[in-house]
Amino acid sequence: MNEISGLLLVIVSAIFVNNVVFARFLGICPYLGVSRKLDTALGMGFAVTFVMTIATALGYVLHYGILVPYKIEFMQTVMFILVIASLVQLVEIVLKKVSKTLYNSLGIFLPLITTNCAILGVALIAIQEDYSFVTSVVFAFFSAMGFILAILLFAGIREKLEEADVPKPFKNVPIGLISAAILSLAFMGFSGLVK
Amino acid sequence: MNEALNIFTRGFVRENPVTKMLLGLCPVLAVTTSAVNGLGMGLATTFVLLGSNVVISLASKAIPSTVRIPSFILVIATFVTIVDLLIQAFSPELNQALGIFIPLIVVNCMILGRAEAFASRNGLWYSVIDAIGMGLGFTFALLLLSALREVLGSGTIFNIPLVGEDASTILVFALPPGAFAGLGLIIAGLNSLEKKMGGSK
Amino acid sequence: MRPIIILTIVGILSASLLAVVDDLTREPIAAAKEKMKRKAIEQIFPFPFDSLRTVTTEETSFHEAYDQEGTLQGIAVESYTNDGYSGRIEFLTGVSPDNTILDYKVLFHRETPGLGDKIDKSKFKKLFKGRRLDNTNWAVKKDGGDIDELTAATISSRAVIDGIVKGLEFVNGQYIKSSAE
Repeated sequence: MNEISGLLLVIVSAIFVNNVVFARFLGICPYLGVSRKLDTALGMGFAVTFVMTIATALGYVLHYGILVPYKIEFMQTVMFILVIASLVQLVEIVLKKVSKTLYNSLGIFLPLITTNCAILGVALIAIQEDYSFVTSVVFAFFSAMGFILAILLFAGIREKLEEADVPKPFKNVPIGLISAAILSLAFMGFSGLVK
Repeated sequence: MNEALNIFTRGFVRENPVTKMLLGLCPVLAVTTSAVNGLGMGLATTFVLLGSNVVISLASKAIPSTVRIPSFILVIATFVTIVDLLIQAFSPELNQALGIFIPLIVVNCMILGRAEAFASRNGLWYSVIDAIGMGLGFTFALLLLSALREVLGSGTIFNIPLVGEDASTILVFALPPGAFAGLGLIIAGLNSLEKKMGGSK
Repeated sequence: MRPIIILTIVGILSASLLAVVDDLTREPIAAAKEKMKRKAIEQIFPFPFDSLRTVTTEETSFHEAYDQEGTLQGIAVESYTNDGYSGRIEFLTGVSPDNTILDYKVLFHRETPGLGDKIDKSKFKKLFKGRRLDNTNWAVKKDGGDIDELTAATISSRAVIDGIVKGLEFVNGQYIKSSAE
């Protein structure tokens, strides 16, 4: 029972309270770059979910299976980024073989994911917070859900902004950042929800 | 020499990685709660950029194109780990403040971007200048945003209090929304400044 | 074949360089951590001390501060609470040998900047100086206790009380009771 409520807390915290984009500032580049249209935002979101969950699980296994026993924790950054880079390549190859439609919709996002700091960030946080294997995987999956929530909300706002009469210096990026500020303010309402 | 000056100022002004290219925004937004943090992050990133640009400009001919990206990432990750260990050893306070964003320098798209777009195609000398220009441009943007947020949000600058301990400050600037809003305002300000200067020419 | 060999060489070079740097920085990092802890301990004791001895138990760590003659002058105890507005808060509380609070320091917190983070400001810390387990009603005024809560940060204030009381109880269990036996 205790474990389940613990997991629930991790889930709520990952999606709302410590949302990767609005509270942890991870994955801002794709957040601003890809979220112009709702459907591309969703595609990016699914690709991130996939890679983030697997990368965190693999990172956990490698960290506690190799780095800690051999006392080479200093290789953590190098190893994690290599895991992510090769994982992205692997996913790309597998997708190409297995499903052409899925590849066509996700394929263009995959190379961008290697430098999406949300992936590396979440994998590192899971280690830093001393999460168990199950908690790490759950945390990664729902952090990705939080990411999807953030880019979907933002994409929706952006589609409307296209038609709005924005003062010239604020066009495009600045107004996007100001909208993000308001969204982030709204998400702060969730803090204190999880103790 | 003119060419070198051109490369140097490009990173600082015209193609400023943060305000113009919008690269590496995660650390820009996350660690800029105080000017000290902003400066520390900027210099750490500059160091990594310099290291990776030097190594990659020297070694890029020996690296086959099929493993170019993984090799570049490996080089960058190595320099990031060195910076990480050095900060832990010599400035534990900064280490605590920057936390996870030190290892995350690896995925700062600016660094891989410079390796790909500049260092792998240019010689050592220009690559060094490019790294310093871009790095200082990045640092400058971080410093601007973090000073704005620290003054408005906490009423201090470089931890020196500007107002009394009890004075009300515009708290929201110290919080996450202030990071987004502050950067938005700075970019908008630079846009209109540029327009005015462009108009007077 | 050549790409793989080159990538392997890059990997080996990187790993060996890092192993060297790690080896070189291992001692400075440990020293830096120690120095930071010592600095925190120096800040919570109003007197200069000569030497430190750390006692670690299952629950926590005590840092005993001695003067030149080897008399115990104060104890810095580590404690934490999970009841902060944003979860865990860690404290280092300095007490005199009779378990009276001298000062405390927040070692880690995630409280709201500008509101909850005032728990680490001297104005709030002052409220705790000179208090002992037995001379204080350990609750915020809102709950009928002795401590003025911070405006708009009652939960953080309650959490500080929880964490500090835990520290005092650790000291009680380790020093006061065992010496009475």
